[in-house]
Amino acid sequence: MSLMDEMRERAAADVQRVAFFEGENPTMIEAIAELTVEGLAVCTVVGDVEKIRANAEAQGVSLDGVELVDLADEEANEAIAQRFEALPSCQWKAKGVRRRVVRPMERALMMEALDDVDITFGGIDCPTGDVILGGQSIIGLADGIDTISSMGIFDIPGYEGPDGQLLGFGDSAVCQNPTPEQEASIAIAACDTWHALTRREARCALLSFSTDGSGSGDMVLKVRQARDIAQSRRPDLKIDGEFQLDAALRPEVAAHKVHRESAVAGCANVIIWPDLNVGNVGVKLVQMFGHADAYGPMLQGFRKIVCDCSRSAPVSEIVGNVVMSCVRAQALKEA
Amino acid sequence: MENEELFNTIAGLAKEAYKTDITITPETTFTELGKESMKMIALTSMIENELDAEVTVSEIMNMQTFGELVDRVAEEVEE
Repeated sequence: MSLMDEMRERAAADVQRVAFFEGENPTMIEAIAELTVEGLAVCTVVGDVEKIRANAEAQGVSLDGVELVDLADEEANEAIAQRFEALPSCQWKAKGVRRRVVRPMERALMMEALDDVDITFGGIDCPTGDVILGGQSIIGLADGIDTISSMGIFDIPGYEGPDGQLLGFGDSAVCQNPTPEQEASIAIAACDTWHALTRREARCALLSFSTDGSGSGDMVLKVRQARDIAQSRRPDLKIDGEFQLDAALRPEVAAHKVHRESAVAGCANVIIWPDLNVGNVGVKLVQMFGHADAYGPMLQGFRKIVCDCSRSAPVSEIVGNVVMSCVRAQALKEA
Repeated sequence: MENEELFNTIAGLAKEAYKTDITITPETTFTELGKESMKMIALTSMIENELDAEVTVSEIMNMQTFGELVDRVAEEVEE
């Protein structure tokens, strides 16, 4: 059974509540209908209900089983505004809250902050930056995390790693040049995301052009500092470095280059790029020359699950991303 | 509110948001203050709460100097 098939089963077995804020988008409404029919999520769509219904009709999909939140309902808007402004995490006074309660994305995030839903999902009609800023403002960062980042999982044909063809990676999409604290945050979040998705323990390697001091300089120092911070913040996680890629993944190379105990060297199943130049190029190298597929990338580091999809995402990708968000939300509740 | 008074108010909010004692001038850059998005979020919400002026983080990320922020807030306040 593929990882996605396994996650679909898990999502359907313990259904999570997902808020969408782009119900006027044709692809999104089709995905919402499919998720509902397949029993993969309980979907709530926030926005202009008339336009959402018209969109569903135009796409030939039913909204049976889908909750619609009408932003024109002033009574409901005021009720949620009062609940939200009572939260200790609320950053705005009354006027600011009421400005935001009628904006689709912000409303969805507020519902999540209030535990009315488990996940906020969107991004097909808005930039990733807006989703990230909205999530940071309303949901906030997880404890011990300094930055939002992204993580994905490669499925590499012919790769025989410790977890078969699967290899987690981060961050290939968000943080351009992470500080040591930010890189530690990326690694910590990636370990938790990996575990949530695969139910396997992460062994996370912080990558560099150096292995254990074979190289030197500020770039190497940054990775070592990130390792120390990550190990200090989360001693329960297996995070180590700095390692070159081969020392991280190949036991025979690790045996030659790593002259100390390491739970990660030679058997990493999650790799962390030191910056976005490496991350962006690295992902494409693996996809082009390794013919790999990739699950995600998924945003991580929020206090709860906020998921962004690409502007060109087809229905199948949206459904897959929602499924992954649902199993992550399940794991968060178990933690 | 006159611009000098507005400047001093926003500078005070920035010091609180960025937890800094640096002297802020109109030429102070956001690179000097710091580009951490959580601190910018804190600053924008303080400005909105105190001055009823909504300036987004995305807008601030495109600004070079603190003076540009003050000018932008002044526009919102005048409306």
